[in-house]
Amino acid sequence: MSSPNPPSDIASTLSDEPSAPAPNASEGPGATLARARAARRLSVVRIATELRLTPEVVEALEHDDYARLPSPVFVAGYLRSYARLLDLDPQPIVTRFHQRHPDAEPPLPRVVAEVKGQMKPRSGTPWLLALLLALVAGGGYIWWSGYQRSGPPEAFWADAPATGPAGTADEDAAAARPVPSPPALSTEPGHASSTDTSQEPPKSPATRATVDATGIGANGDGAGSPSLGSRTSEIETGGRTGSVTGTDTSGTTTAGPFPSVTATGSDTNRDSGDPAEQVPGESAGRGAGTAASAAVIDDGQRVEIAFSGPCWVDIRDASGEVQLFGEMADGDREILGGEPPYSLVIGNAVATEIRVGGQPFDVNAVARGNVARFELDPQQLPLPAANAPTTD
Amino acid sequence: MFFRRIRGLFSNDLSIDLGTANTLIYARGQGVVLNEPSVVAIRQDNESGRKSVAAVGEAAKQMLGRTPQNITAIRPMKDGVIADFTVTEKMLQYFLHKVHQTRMIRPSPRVLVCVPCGSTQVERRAIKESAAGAGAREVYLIDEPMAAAVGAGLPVHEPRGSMVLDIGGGTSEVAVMSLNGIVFSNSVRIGGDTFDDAIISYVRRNYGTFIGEATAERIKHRIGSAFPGNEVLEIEVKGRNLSEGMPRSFTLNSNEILESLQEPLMGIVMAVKQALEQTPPELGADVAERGIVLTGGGALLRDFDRLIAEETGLPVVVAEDPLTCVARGGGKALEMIGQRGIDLFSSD
Repeated sequence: MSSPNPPSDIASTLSDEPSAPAPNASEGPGATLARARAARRLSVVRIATELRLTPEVVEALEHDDYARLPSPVFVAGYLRSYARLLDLDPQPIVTRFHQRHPDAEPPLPRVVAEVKGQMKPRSGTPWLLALLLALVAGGGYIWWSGYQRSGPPEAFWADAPATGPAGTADEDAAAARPVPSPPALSTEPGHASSTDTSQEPPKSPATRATVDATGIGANGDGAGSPSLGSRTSEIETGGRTGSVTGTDTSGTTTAGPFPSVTATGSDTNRDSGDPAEQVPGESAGRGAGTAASAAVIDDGQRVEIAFSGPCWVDIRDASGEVQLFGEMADGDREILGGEPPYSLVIGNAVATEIRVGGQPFDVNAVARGNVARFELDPQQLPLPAANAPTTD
Repeated sequence: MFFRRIRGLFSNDLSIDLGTANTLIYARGQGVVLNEPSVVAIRQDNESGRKSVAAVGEAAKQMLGRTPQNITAIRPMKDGVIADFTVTEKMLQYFLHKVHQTRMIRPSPRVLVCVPCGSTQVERRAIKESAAGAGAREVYLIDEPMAAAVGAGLPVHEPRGSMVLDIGGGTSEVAVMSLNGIVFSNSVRIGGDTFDDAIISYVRRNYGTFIGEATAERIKHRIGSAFPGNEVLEIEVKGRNLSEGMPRSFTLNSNEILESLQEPLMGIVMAVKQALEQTPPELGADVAERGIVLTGGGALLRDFDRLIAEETGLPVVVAEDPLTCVARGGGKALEMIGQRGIDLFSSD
């Protein structure tokens, strides 16, 4: 800016000089430039003005004092401009600068090596491995639990704990074992009787009495309330009417032998859909009779199943507990325990004969094809017209 | 996904300077492995109407303006961004394959693409999708001035202002950086192509002669300058005389070309001045102390640094090998991907 056309100005100075300073291989680029400047009789300040640098920077350039200069990219640029200003070929000067300062413009492979060294080892591979392991473990567990559900043979389970890959799976197996296995003990007569005993009159009068008494209470109150709404209130009323029943026992024994009476009583108890059918007073009397003759009724409600051929069955009681499950063979006879009503699935209806309280129950009537799915309430049986077994 | 990773083991990490004029690819550990014009020649089959790639890169560039009817040579990039998505994808595919020529397995490299800092979200996304479509496993984007500064060797990590002016084919970008981040950046859609167009229109106006882009570029390379120099250079060119309709030969000198380039050059100077005005004073002082660094092909225009120096009064230096600065900087940035605390990459 100080001179309108400085390069030509300096170039004219140069043309006066007989010879440009020969660059010496041993000397630094700054020294070459300093000699060239001195040959042209130019001051450092003049050069600094031309290059728009401070005189200190120019001096540092001439003394090759790179500690006082900015990063190499700038130094190389300054040197190039300086050389051009003095009409020297900038390339050899910049090349010598790079030779003297190899890190000035690091060769690319070296940069790579350097940065590679700094970089942390890539964590991709271990993660990938961990992910693979997790996938394999997860897949194996899913396969195993699926296998369990499909009900493997007993032999497998005998081996399984030894070969089981994981502790949790073992526990799972132990928990799951009872589920697929049918209550095989029920096929043994001894066990059947033992479960049955719970239903035998002598052992269960208390529970029976409460249940029946509840029904009586509902009926005996004569409120005609068809619902069994809240249990607690029923029990209270049951307790009250229960005592009433107790006093009445002798008088109502006559009603006892008729299963139809008990059935009606329990029917209103459980399904009080048609209260019009009953006269309050009458139902109270019937109910009292029910409670008193519990033993006789229980015997009459006994459900007996006999098989005349192979048949798959699944029978559960009112609480959903499995009573009979699995494949039955020809000649098997079973007496159902648990609390009625039962829900039954019978695979071979033709080969099945059901007797409720000694009376035959027509399985084929409720079977679809040869499979029967229905609910059986022994107490409802005497009124088959009103309570047809529900089929799915 | 998984197979891409496996294929990735056989591929190099690449940094791509997807420029309007040239595409450069820097491979990790190998340096700049490809430098070809961003031109694709497309042949249309007359019978079936199907289009196929006839040539890419240097071969396609020679066809520019010299193609028969069934071939069109196009430049899929315009102003630093994608103008033709499909063709760009094909071009990238070709370049990626060329870089991995010796490999048996189809390459699936991690790719870092440099984008102009003035590009929109849509344009960035298009570039990303295009690179992914060309077979890249992962695509990173970096602002061009940042890549240029890293490639030039500027200490961008320091808490000092560094200004870089990157003059590309389609855009010129000026940015001030400090602590690995861009403090201010400005992008103007003026670049080498604009210079060519300016020369074409100057010749047409003053000589009544029409010259092609390739000729204009040749003129620019030979005698173009940004600042009046000591000597006047001349070149003889041939073009079609508009009044006669005949090809005619004539001579141009460097002063004429300097005159023709005034308008685009002033556009770039204005952008630089604007950036200096907007730069926070502390960083501006740093820039004034050390200077502005020029990168990009435009920096090769004779005396461009002197023009900027005269106009701003600041020291101006041209980076080593300015053409490849962006690609090299991208390559260095690619190596820093795994390093923590370095966030050179642009958000998209």
